[in-house]
Amino acid sequence: MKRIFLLILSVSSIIAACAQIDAGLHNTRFIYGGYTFADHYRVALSHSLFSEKFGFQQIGLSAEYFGDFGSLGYEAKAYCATAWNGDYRQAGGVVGVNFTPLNVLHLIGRINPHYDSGYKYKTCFSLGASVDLNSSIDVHASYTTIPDYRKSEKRVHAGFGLRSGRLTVIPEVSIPVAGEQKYKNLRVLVSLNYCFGNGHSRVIWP
Amino acid sequence: MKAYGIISRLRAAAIALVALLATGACDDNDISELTFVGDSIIARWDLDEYFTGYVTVNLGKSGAGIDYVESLKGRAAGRDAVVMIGTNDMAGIRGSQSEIELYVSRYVDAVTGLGARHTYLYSILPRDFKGEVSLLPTISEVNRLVKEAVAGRADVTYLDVYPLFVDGDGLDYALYSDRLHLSAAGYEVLAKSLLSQL
Repeated sequence: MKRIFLLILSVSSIIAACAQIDAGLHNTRFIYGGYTFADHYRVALSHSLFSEKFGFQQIGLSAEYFGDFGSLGYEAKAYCATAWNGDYRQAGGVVGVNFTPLNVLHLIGRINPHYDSGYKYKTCFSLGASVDLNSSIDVHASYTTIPDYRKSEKRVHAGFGLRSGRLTVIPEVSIPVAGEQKYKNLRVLVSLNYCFGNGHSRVIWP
Repeated sequence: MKAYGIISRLRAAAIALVALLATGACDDNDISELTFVGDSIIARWDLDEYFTGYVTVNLGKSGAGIDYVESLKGRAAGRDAVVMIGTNDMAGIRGSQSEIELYVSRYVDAVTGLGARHTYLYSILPRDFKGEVSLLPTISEVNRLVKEAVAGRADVTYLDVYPLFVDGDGLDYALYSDRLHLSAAGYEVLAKSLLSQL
């Protein structure tokens, strides 16, 4: 029994030493915690902060693999989520690439097959670019149909990425570009991420 | 050791999530769906921000009046509807009491004609747009008669929010962006009123 305990403790210590924990906020409405291990794998748990009763809050789980081939970064993620009252469920995947043709320019594309038991299946995507103004600040913009919260809409996101040590903060506006409310009904979204481990800071979502 | 505690909690939460999904607690045929019908006040409402737990459909249309709701007859059949309509009609019915009563009768027929399983009907909001002659007495009278007309109906919940948008003799301007359309604070008031009834 003692040997098993020591073995578990040793393996856990090795895993902890090779791992990185992060936490943050996504689109103002989701808090999350993530666990990255073996440099390329990450699992995360998220929870919503909607302005509704607890039963309508959402808890989600995701698993991700990411890496890069030089100037081409990539990610593949699967996720699922449910409202606590069981009113709806979500599941989907994200495949994304981040291409850096110039030192300061990044082109980002993501495709997101997304199922929501209320809104049904939709293939969402986003295309965008970011420019590094210096090592701590970038400015970015993207066209996206990936839901900010739950509903897929055609929107443009524009904002800044601010990095300081292990902290990344992303304030941005989300502007609808289709439908009755286009241009009038913008959202101010804030995302942030803080890494607790020894690893490098990377913008990572639930 | 802190990390182990966090990991342990993450694992417990993950197990709870998988268990929740596995139980199939969600019945796809029993979706909480809300169809919003109305004018620009509805059209500009960021429904996914306030009602994320619901499937929402926004049929708001800028400049719409009661004739627009009439054109949507049966459109909300089998669903719950949220309706706010009438502010664009008010200038046109400033007249006799009989004219107001005629409008109210048409109003109630149009709203119930949507065929919704249940209708959440907002009162018409006070307005003071671009120095227009005060419509507040007309709006108050229409609201009073509509409230009376739907009082006995089990399929209609009347949301009397008019008093919440009044401050003294005028509007509570903090709730408006231009004395007609609403600010974020105004939509917050509308959302709270509706969420308390859902």
